[in-house]
Amino acid sequence: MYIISMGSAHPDGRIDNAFLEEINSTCSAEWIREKIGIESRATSLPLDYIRETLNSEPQVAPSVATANATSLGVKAAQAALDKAGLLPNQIGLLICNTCRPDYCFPTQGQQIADALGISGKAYDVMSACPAFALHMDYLNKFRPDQLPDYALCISTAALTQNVDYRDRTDSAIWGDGAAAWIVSTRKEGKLRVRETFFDGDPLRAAAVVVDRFGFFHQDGRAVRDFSVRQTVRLIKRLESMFSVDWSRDIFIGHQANRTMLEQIARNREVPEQNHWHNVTFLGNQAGAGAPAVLCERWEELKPGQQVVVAVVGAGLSWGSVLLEVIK
Amino acid sequence: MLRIAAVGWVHPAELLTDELLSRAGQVPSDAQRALQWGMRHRYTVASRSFLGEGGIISAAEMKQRFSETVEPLVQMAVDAAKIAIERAGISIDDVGMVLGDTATPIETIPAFAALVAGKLGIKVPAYDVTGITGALPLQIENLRAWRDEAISPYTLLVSGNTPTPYLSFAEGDECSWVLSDGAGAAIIEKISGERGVIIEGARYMRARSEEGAAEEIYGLIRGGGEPSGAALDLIQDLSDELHIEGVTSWIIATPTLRSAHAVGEMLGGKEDTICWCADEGFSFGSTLYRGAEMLLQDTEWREKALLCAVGPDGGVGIVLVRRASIEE
Repeated sequence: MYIISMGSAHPDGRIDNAFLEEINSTCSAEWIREKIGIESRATSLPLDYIRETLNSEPQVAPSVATANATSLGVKAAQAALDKAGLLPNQIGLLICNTCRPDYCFPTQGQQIADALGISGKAYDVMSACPAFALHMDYLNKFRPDQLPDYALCISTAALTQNVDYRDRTDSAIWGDGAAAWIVSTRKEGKLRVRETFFDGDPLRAAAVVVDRFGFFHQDGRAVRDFSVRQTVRLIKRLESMFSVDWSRDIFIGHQANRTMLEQIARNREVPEQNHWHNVTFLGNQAGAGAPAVLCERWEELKPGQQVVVAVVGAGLSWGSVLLEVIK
Repeated sequence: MLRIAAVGWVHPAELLTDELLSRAGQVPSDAQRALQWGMRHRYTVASRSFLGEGGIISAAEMKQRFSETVEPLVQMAVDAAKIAIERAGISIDDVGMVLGDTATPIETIPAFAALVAGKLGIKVPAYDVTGITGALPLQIENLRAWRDEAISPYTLLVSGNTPTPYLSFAEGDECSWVLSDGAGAAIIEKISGERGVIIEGARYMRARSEEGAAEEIYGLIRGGGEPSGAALDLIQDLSDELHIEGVTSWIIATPTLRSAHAVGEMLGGKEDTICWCADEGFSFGSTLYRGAEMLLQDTEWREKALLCAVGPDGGVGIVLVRRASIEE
């Protein structure tokens, strides 16, 4: 199975630390930098709207937003199609992950497929932040002859619309974005999939929740500890199964926050130049974060390199993908 | 080879009768109700005060409606899963994977499957594969397409839907008269020898959204309850792919009696062999689980049967099953 192209999209708005300091007296840029390591976040909400309302009624946010899960997903998918030189009618399957669908009916995948003019199957395969691993593991379960020539995977969310901007931690974390990637079992692409893995512990399902008409909330400390420990376990698992050489290979984790990612990279002794991330300037884009990083650095990938993607999130769930750059 | 080992289906206790709906909104004639929609009644998780209020609701009121329905949605699915697990004669620890589906999540993360699995105490991969009305055929089609080693001995499929809190009853549109709340669950077992109800094939597809078809926009479901023409056309294509010759029972999940007969007859069924499984209301993907439950409980049924779902969301799916010559 190969990834033949990728696309990503983010809204133009940016929430920087100075803005958060301005709207919340308990929040300081220094505290954010030290604890979370994020400098700015992509947002679909107008800054004036956040300043005036602190997004106190999240159910109103979609009506003022400049982008949503559908528009971001469409943009990312179109970029992936363009890069691959494919037309929408060549996509036989579209699967979509979102933490915050614009509507639940029809599915988010169906809405994006309709907007792109894709007439093949389209539905949602969802487990929030570990979307990249889930989608790759899900497709990897199929017998190759049961998949179409091209499958389009999308993860999209506009979670800043579910942030309570009176909460200094949540407001410092979240960003909006989408990523899309095209997978084929028949057409060789730049990235060959060596291994996929996905697992979960639903006993801790209540640890991270997005209320559809309310706010995001999580058991922060528990989730942070889980995220670090589980990501390290995922990487160790791949290191024990395959020859991973951190002087050559690349690590991409769940773009939750930079300090957490740095802790993980230090633990596995991944040199800074081989730890790729975008959370510092785009925020936590949920399931879109890790694939968006890979998309942004696509041209830098060199044949012979391996990419370890290890992602965790709500569910609680986690997964990994080992990719090999073949051309 | 896969079989449907067992199915469970549950609904809320509260009945949504024609009389209650009439009080809240427009009043269709008895003949219109019987011929067009054909529902005996529906079920709702919503409190009666919502029905009394009837009309367009504000965002704040909507939030309150939904917050009161989180627990019933998950609990119904948990109850349906427990029934399916018990009927399959397995323990919760035997379940190796949970695939969920809901068109009406109140919490958009975690996955509905994770919420249900968590309440059941199952620590296995649990995520959603959401195809709305066609969810059951979609998930079965996928399992059949997976490599053998990727399929758990027992997979729990679960679908829960509570559309009634999303309705503005005062508008009196078709959706108000056909949608209902409910949850279903099925245990899909991987088998080596033939026994029970064998899955011969499954297909899922979706029709492009059409004007007039039902849709949900920021909390309210509106539009026509009937499947679109494109969705009805698709069902014929899917049945052609599956070669449904020899089918003796047609179990149809469509929002109305009228559309059930249209679909059943299009596929070759006769009036006395078509069973409409939404006579107690249409709850998207959960509805076909009721049909599957009816089929599994029917001891008279022999040979081949077709489970068929066509929804107002454009989701279309069919599952072809046959009873093995060796009973359990």
